[in-house]
Amino acid sequence: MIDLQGVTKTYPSGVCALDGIDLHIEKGEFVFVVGHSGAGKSTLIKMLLREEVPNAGEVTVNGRDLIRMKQREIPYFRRTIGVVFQDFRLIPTMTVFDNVAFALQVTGVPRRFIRRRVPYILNLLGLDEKYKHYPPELSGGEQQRVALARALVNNPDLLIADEPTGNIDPELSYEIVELLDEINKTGTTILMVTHEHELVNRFHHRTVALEKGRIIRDSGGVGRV
Amino acid sequence: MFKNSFGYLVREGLRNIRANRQMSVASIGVLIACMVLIGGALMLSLNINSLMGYVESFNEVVVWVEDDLGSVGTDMLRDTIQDMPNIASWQYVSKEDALNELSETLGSQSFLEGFEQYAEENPLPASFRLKVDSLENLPATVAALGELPGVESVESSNEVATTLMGIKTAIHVAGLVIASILMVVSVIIIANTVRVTIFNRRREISIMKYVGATNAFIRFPFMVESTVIGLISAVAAFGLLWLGTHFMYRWVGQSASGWLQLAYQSLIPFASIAPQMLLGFVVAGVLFGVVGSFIFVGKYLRV
Repeated sequence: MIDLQGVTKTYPSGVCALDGIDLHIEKGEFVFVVGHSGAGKSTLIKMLLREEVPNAGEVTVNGRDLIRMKQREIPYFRRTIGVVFQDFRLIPTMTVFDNVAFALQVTGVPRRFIRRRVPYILNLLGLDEKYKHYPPELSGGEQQRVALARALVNNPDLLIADEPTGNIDPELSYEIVELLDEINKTGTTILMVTHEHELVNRFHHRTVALEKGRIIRDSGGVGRV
Repeated sequence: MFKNSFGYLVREGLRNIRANRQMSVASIGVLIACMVLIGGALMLSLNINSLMGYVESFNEVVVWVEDDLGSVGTDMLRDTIQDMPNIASWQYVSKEDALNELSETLGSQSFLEGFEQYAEENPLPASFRLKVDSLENLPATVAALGELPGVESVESSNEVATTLMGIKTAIHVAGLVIASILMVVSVIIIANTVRVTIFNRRREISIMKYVGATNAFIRFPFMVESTVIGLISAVAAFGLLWLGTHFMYRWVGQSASGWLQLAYQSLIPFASIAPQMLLGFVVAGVLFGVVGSFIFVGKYLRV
């Protein structure tokens, strides 16, 4: 699902964010990526989303070679993965329904499909009463569930979560990760970046620790199925 | 290109105008201000030109004919004048016409009695009265007329012509300078407005990119938005100018000043340039918005 080989990224400022990362994640895995700020977690996510390209190494996600990917292929690649961020990244002027529907609209599927699919996914995440609300009217936990709905509406094979619980109350954080766990059980690969050790300890999943751009610990090990 | 999404993208563009009301109103205001200024300057300079044309039409040139020219010589002179370039109109005034005109002007029957002795020997010379098509050609034409055989002298207001020409050139130059400044300022202001609008929504643009929207998909609603804002502004600016012109003209027409009354006759009716102006506004408004948003949205698409 994810295959990184010798990935190195040095920014023009001279900061070396990733230093020869080798990481292999199989389909269906649930992986935590932990590390202090500045350890390279954000850069790793940017690599996986093809927001940045490494200076050296190979990046393959969902069977696609991100290094040789053309600019105009990027949107089509991104539709195959779902992403949630710490700051939710919902469009404030769109209703909950429209925010989730947007991810389907970009793919050009017919409207009647969108009208069936979006309520289904919103119900699944317990948002059935919030269709018509705007993101700023919702709590952090609710907003993150909307973001999760948007990430899942396309039925992605891979879900990337960048500190999804960072802006949420601790009790709700637990709920969110449980939700991710449920999603993982349906076969979706999950990569979650976090620095909340409590969560990592509570859910026993493979954990990859980053420090100064290197992997210092990997509880699952390369190639674990 | 957008088989299933065309309607959605158009609706998105319209929704964005409402969702970002403040910026939309600001943009429309800026566009209207620019258009009204440029349109107003245009109306003003067109009217001044037309007024100048009206003043120019008083450029009568009188060519006095030598008394002993005879009818053959007069005919030849008439043919020559007729064939000269730059002559807008001409009129032959014979000795008899001149006398009649004079007696008509003087009017009094008793006074005319004194002229009876001239019935045989009319002292008034024959003349050609002509108008030159443009003031610029006046000096040359007057000089050429003076060279013709059988011409006693040429009378014209050369000095007035030179002064008028100077004023006309000055107005032309001033008009061009003001128009250029207004255009440059407008382009800068509009570009800035578009830039701020899109800067405010850079986050939205990057979110769309993360979800897998293509650049065209993100740009399209912005284009719809700019087009609608451009159209609204163009129509509003046009309406404002129409109203403004209407009231200005009415004021000029009703004013007691003789000079303004004179000007009133040469005012250009708004309707005569209305279609071009509306078209210009619509094209400029839509073009600026669409090109501007295309460029500035592009800045934030590199995610």
